[in-house]
Amino acid sequence: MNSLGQSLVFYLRHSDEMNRLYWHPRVQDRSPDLTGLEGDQAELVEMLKAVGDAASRESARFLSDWGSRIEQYLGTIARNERVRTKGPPKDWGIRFRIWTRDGASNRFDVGLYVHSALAQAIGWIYCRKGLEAEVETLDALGRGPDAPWRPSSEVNEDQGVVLFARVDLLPKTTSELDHDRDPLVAKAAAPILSWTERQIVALTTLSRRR
Amino acid sequence: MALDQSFLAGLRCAYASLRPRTGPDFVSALRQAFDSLPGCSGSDLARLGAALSSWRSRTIAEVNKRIKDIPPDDPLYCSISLFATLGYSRLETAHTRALAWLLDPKAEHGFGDALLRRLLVACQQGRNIEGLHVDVVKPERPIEGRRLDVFACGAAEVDGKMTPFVLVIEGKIDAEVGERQLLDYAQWVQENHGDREAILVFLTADGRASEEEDGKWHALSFADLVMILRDGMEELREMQGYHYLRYYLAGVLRDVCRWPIPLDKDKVNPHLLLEYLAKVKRPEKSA
Repeated sequence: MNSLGQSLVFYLRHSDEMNRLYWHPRVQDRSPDLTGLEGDQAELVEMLKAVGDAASRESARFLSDWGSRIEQYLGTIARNERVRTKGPPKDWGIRFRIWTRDGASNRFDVGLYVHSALAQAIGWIYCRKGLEAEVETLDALGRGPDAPWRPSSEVNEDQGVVLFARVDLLPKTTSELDHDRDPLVAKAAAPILSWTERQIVALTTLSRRR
Repeated sequence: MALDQSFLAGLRCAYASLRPRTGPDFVSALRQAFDSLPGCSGSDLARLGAALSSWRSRTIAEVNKRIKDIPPDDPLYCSISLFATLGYSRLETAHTRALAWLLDPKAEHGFGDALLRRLLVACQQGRNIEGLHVDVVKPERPIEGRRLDVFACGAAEVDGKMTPFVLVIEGKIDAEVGERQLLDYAQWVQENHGDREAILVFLTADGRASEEEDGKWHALSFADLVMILRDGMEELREMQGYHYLRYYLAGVLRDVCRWPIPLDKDKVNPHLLLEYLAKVKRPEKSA
């Protein structure tokens, strides 16, 4: 079993607190405000940083596993390139840009991010902005009773974004900190692994429609 | 001319030494080093978990105590988002234009300089501003092919001394900051308003600091902005712009900060909610 990571599971279980005491101070380049928190403050600061940093690494490893899996498959039906992000957010989200194999410039983006407040990995696809684009994307992907595709409103995403995976990352029992990463990666990648080259063409076409 | 064999062997050797050794041994050692990076033991995690859970319980108890002080017309209970009605709920220019209007003492809202004053105080570590003279507040001020989202200049009286200032706000909701954008803006301010105190605010959904600037910008999240503008809002209730401000704050909370507005207190981060509640002026108890 490849573990998702104890620190990441801990982070997701206490996301309101970890975001407030680790994430926001980190991205705002300031010290955490520990007012109201009981215990040795210096020790708490050290633990928060160690757990937060480890959780970020574990999240990055989970996303990278997912990226390798979809990159390998998409390479057979499309051209794809990883879009690199900078700074702390790079550990919590991964994005690929997809083109058809014929060299046309139209493209769309797919990605996966760890939504700490929901404790879920969320897979998304974006062709262009707007609710109309969402409907067209859903049509291109093929609707069906069991289709995983969902509109942006489900997680307050931006208009135009269509979700293709929402994978719960927390183990079932609240005391567990170990969780097998591989089935989670497989679940988040599965919808993409069913795409056809024809669907890739249809999705890239949507990016230019106005 | 044939090259000397020993020279070629030496060249091969030197070239080989230049390439990084990335054989399986290196990769497995790297993995081992990566896995041994400092983390926390199971007992440390349990201790930290207990501290966080107990803090959360105390926060929730305090929220429950204070929530009854919220007036019914508070933005938390407002179901109207100013820009969602137009389909512009996360449009940066809509937000920054509205913000510029709210900060402008000469605008029709009737708040005078109240909101600008609060923002300046918040960005200057709570220094008390005794007097404020504002020359201009402008949205989308063009500068050399770009636009400053909000630009203001004037003078603030601090400790009995008038200090000229220039305020620039660069807002980002979904987009990333452009290459050198903040550096260029800071340089423009230095070149054109070098004699004034520069207050540069980088306003984003999560309050992140920009990776590409040199520490001159004050990182502010939209949630921080709400806290600043909400503080003492009760005093503005009779003013023309009160409901505009309500809809604006409700929209920022709902559409940018993703709070469940109208408030569902069990679904919002209790620590943030408590911070908000601290800005609510408690009704005075009757004798």
